[in-house]
Amino acid sequence: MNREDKKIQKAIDENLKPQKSFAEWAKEHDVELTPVNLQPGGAAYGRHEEKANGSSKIVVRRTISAVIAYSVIVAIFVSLIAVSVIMLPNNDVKHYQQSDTVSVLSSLDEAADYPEMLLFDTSSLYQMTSVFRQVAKDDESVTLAYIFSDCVFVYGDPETNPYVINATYIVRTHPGYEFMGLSDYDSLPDSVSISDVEMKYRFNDEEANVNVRFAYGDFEYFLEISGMPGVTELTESRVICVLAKLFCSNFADCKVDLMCGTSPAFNG
Amino acid sequence: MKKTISGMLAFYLAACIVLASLVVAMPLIGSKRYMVEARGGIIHETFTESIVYSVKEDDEEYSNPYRLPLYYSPYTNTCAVTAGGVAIAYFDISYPNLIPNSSGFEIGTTYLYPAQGSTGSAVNNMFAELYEMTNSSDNGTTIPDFKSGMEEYVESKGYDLTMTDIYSNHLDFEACKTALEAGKLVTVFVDGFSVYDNEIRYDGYDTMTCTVVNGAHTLTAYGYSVIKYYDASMNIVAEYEFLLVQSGMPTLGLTRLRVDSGCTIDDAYVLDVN
Repeated sequence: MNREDKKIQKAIDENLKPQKSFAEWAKEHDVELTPVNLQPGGAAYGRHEEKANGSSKIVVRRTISAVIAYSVIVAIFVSLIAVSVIMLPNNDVKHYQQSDTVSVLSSLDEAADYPEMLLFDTSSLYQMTSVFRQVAKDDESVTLAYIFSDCVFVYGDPETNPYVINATYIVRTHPGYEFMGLSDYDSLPDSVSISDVEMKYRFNDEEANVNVRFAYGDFEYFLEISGMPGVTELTESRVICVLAKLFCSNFADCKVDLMCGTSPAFNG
Repeated sequence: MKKTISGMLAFYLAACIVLASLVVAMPLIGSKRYMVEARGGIIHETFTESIVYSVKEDDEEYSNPYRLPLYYSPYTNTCAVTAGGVAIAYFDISYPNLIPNSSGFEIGTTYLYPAQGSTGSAVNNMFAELYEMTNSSDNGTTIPDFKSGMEEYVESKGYDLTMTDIYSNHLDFEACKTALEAGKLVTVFVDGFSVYDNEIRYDGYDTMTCTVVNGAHTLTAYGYSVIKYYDASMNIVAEYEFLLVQSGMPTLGLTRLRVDSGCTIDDAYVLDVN
């Protein structure tokens, strides 16, 4: 910058310099200044504050609006959660493990009298080793399940061509009963409908038995079915037929296809 | 203005507390717990084990063809009476006076035990006698009382019972195998145990459902099974030693008790009648 340029610059600076400071001007016009943090990240960054002569005050309207909106959203959210919790289905279902229960000796006749229980066809029932009613330890009037163990069914001609199966049948009458062995009935891959009752099952090649689970009415039903060593080997192709034999008698219009081969056990 | 903001924040805080309380309370609703019942104990956890392998050996096993009957003592907290009763029912096949007026029959190679029946049946009468002789109560049965009660019952029917202890710091599994293959039974007293069932074979791996149970329990075994899994280099990747047992629990029936791990055995006896 040469000498002439410096002179010109000095003249410009002097002309642009205000005759009084902003503070002096504000005092003359009764404008009150309030210190705010206008730095980026500061609490008032991007916000204007006006406070002049008691009527020109700048307020932080955006902060209040945000708080109100946020509070309303939270209130609605909390209300929805609370209502959902209160309205949860089966909220009052008590859970029972094996240790919370007592086994009470029972019978087929007693079970048959239990309201709405779906029983297997007893016309081919040859023998049943035991029947127990599982009840709550703290209130024996609460029935949790019926367990029919080692039920032997004989179809066909018992003397010449018997088809014998063995089943353990568990009727869970209380949805909160988490009985020992329940996990055996998880994730059953196959299903069959018998008179619109969908039965899920898994055939276990290794043990030649099948685990079956289905719901009917208010109860859940669990079966483990096997053949009879030395007499009958249960095969996967016979599972549907066996289930039909066990339960079709409960339904007037049993829709399952009973094309189960030529064994005398299943000709009827 | 400050009051408005403070009010809003207070409301927000209160709402959060209510929400947190509800979330905490949800799992507690309907999950009342009860005391341990000796027949079943408390399920500690149930999980599925997956074993990836190249070679599997599972031919080391024995299952008594008569298995054990699915009888259960009709008294509370009497797993030991159930374990002893099913053993007596088994020996009754060869020594029919053990349970008078009761006999089963065979279909094919399967022996069908007589039905347990209702109160007053031959089987339930046996349970009633055994309950008394083993000094059992709602608090369960002690091992000495089990031994003396079983011996007293068998002797009262005109036979002799021998009970050979096969537990000394650890279960003598070889002795178990020898006894079971000879048609004898093994009764084990455990305090916390694991049962494995639902074995499913897939291509290259197996899965088994393991149920871990807390609590003192008594079971009687009628067989055993050993499964070994190897990788491609024939390094062992998993090994299981099971006793095939009558579980004492009606919903579980016959199952496999793992004895090489996940099971605290207090005592074990080989049972034989002559």
